[in-house]
Amino acid sequence: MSQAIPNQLPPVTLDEAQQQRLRKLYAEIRCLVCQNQSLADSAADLAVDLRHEVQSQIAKGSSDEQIKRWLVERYGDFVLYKPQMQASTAILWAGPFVSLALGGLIWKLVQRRRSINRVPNSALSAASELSVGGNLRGASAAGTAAPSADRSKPEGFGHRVSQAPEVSNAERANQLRRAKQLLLSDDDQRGS
Amino acid sequence: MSRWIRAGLPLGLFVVIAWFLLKGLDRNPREIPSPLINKAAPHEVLEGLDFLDVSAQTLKVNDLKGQVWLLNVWGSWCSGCQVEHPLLNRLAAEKLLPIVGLAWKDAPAQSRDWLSKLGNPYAMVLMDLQGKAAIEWGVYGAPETFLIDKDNKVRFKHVGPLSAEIIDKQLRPMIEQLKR
Repeated sequence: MSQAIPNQLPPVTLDEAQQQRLRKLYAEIRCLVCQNQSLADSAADLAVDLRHEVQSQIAKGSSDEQIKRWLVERYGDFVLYKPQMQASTAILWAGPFVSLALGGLIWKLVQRRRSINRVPNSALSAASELSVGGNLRGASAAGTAAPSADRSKPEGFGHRVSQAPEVSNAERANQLRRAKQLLLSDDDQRGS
Repeated sequence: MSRWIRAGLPLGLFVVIAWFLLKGLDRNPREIPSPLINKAAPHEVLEGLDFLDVSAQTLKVNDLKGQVWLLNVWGSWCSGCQVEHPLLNRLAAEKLLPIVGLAWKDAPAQSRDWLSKLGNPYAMVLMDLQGKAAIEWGVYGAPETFLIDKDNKVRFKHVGPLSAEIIDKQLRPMIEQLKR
């Protein structure tokens, strides 16, 4: 396999300011042969040619914008790492902001739902009455299963309940029902 | 209602993301859409190039005006060009349209050698020793093939070796339509 003939173009001399512009410009231009390298990093043949072209255009006095337009006319928007703002790239530019706004909207909705679902004070006090006879979990277990649920449950599940024998299971079930009603009615009022 | 939103939102998001990822699967990042499509072909830059002196030279660059023609960018250093070359030979034998070769940064002696070995499908071969013409045409890798219509507009571009399928399914119908 033969080799492509090397670049024989005469070198372009640039002053300090022009070289600075060149470096900045290079970093914004994509090498199309090795796509994830900038034009500055690339050693591919085409990159050598393109670098020479950019250099001579700077020497000729073209502006950065003119050089970029020249490149885009030939190689398309893809040649620039930072695409220009235009109709076909609007989604690209607006996309992150739109998703951010969308995310914020969803977050706000979720926050609002949370505050609706927060247990209102009246319900909380009813629920705290229950804790006289034990924690909510113990009470609900006793209340929903059966009023005459056996007290001989092994330690670790119902031991708090058994510490307050003066409240009967039937009473506790009633309290629980009231608490539920309160919670539900509050939710309805706020929800509607 | 809100339950539907709660269930539908993640599902909807999933569908959107999945769609984009799926589309990405069969997209080739090497295939960069040419900004030249439906625009004027950079004709003048070809006029400034020298011919490769191979015997089958029948055309001049100016003769191409008002014709439907194919520009094929190649080099003897390019392995993909060798792959598509028999197909170009076959297409040239059909005499459907003139095929112009642009020898991109290729030493003339090697171009000549290559064509005498593999056959010459080109109505003319232009030598782009400096790679300037290739840049004007937005070439970034050989082989590349352009179809130009009677109004000197670029109508089709293919990057990479042509295949029989591309020629039969895309190129030939377009050529026939443009020649009408």
